[in-house]
Amino acid sequence: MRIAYLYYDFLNLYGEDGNIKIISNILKQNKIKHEILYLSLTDKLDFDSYDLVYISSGTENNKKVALKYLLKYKKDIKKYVMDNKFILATGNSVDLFGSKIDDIDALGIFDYTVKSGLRKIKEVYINGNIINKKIIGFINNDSYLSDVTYHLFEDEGIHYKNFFGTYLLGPVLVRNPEFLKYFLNNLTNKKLKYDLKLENKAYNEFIKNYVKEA
Amino acid sequence: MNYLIVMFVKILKFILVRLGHGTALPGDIALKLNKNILSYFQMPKTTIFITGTTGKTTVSGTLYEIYKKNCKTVSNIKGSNLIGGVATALIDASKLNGKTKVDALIIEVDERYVKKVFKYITPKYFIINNLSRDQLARNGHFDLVFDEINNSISPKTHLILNADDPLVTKFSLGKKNKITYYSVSKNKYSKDKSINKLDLCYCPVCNTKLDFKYFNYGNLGYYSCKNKDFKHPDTKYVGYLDKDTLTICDSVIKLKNTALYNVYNLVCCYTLASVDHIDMSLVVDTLNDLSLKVKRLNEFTYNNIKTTLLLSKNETPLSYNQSLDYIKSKKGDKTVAIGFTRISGRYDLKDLSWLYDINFELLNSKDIKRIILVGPFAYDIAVRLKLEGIDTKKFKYCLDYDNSLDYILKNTIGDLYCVVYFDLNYKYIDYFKKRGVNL
Repeated sequence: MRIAYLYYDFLNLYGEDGNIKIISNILKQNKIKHEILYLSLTDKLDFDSYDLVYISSGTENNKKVALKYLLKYKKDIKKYVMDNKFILATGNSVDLFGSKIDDIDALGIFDYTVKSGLRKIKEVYINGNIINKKIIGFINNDSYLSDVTYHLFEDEGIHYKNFFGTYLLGPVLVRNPEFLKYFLNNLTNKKLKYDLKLENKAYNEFIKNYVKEA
Repeated sequence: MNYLIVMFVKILKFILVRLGHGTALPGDIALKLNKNILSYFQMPKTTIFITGTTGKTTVSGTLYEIYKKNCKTVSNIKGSNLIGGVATALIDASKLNGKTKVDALIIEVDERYVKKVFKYITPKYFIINNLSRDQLARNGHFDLVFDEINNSISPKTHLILNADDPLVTKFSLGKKNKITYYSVSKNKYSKDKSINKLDLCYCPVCNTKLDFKYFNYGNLGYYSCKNKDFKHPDTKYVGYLDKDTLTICDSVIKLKNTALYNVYNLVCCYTLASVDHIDMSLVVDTLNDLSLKVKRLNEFTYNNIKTTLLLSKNETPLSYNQSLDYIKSKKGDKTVAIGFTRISGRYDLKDLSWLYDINFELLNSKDIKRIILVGPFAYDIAVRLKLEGIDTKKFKYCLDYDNSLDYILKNTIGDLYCVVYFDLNYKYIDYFKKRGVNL
């Protein structure tokens, strides 16, 4: 399995390599051979050879610069998504896949448009939709999506075929063990073994201590 | 009117100080009475403003020690670095009519308050020590902080910039200001690769990846862009570190603490003082004196346990990693206690992503026999450490932080290192003081 971590050194604002680390650890425990490609802006991308593409948050400026580089692969990315291959996008990298970011053309994989300008910084506790558990997380972002048909979680993100995009930033997979299991079982098309006792405790403690309705 | 405000606030401060208060509050009240009060004050001959993610309190404190031997100086080092603290310092430095009564003003400013303060004040010197990811839930991110500061710098200000930090050197782009750089040369701590998340490793002009010859720490090092659009600037103010000796422009400073952040702070102060034509023998004597007096963290033995308290700032990886580096550099069996009761003292937002920007792999070591995780986020920290392959059998949990120190001391193997945030650090200092430890 080849995992492409896009722009690990450019879009890496909120500790999001935690998601890559937990994916790798679990694949290792299940003896699934894999390779993680840490890719920089100027590296040549070969979407045909990837099984998972991970992309995460950057500053608004870096997001725009990354877009310039990715636009060269617009067709490849569209084909990759249509072929049911996996993309996980966290934080404001979701913006890249819509049709426009303000008045700049984005990748156009999806129809949604993105407006920037009003920063939202907040904790999130929302329905998981595809899983039976609530999702916990954090948003620190200055852009909004319009017209999304398929949300990943309750009222945010996007889920289409095997494209999983969420504005939740940071270690989303680590903090939401059920989502991690769902994602990895689908990615590998196997029922993997998991030892997530600590992760589950962290999840439950957080809800017990900090979520009012629980 | 301003005359009356200043008089009123001076009296108020006189009373407050005797009650044990009075750093930000008098200035805050003055600002309530006139939000433009900062423009009322005449600036002294020398005004030095300092900002940066880390080290600003040390730099301003050290400069204050140098300047007060030389001339009449006021600073906000014991006070607040927000706008109220700046106003308080200016009130201290001024007569009722707003005229200055001092020769030098040394002000530390929080990064997010530079904009507000520079609206009214154009300092002679502005030092930027470093800039890195810090309190993202408050600051958004470093690009926003950069833009705010960048847009508020007057062309008349002489900038003193850390040449080793590309995010700081970036302030020079497109500016005609007078700029003096300082730097620390390659030394025993330098590494070919950085293990930190880099905040800037692409050329800010042409976006090609910067070439780093070496890293000193964090994002700080020697860099250049292959298209020659951006590079580490040359400077004569370079600190050379050899064992416990720091040499800058033929001056020699003996160090008790050779940690690089300390070295950078000293080189920064030396540079400013040299640029401002302060008598260098006085500067070197003061730096030597301070450098030897500097208290090494809180280290002591209690109940036969060698204990070190390492106050560690949540959400500021550059500072937090210094604590972890320090633990790694020590020999012998160790127990490390890590914790906090809340993520920030400033706001109640529970963003945990910063934990993932800290180099916890530094704790993956045979010497570390036990790791005690304290407070309501104990399991969150555990999950983070587990990702680095640290054996979870070493973990113990203490969610009840009120009695956590009893628990930690009972469960310590070897020497104890407490990596804790302000909230627990106060409690622990208090605990040890009550039991006769001289802190």
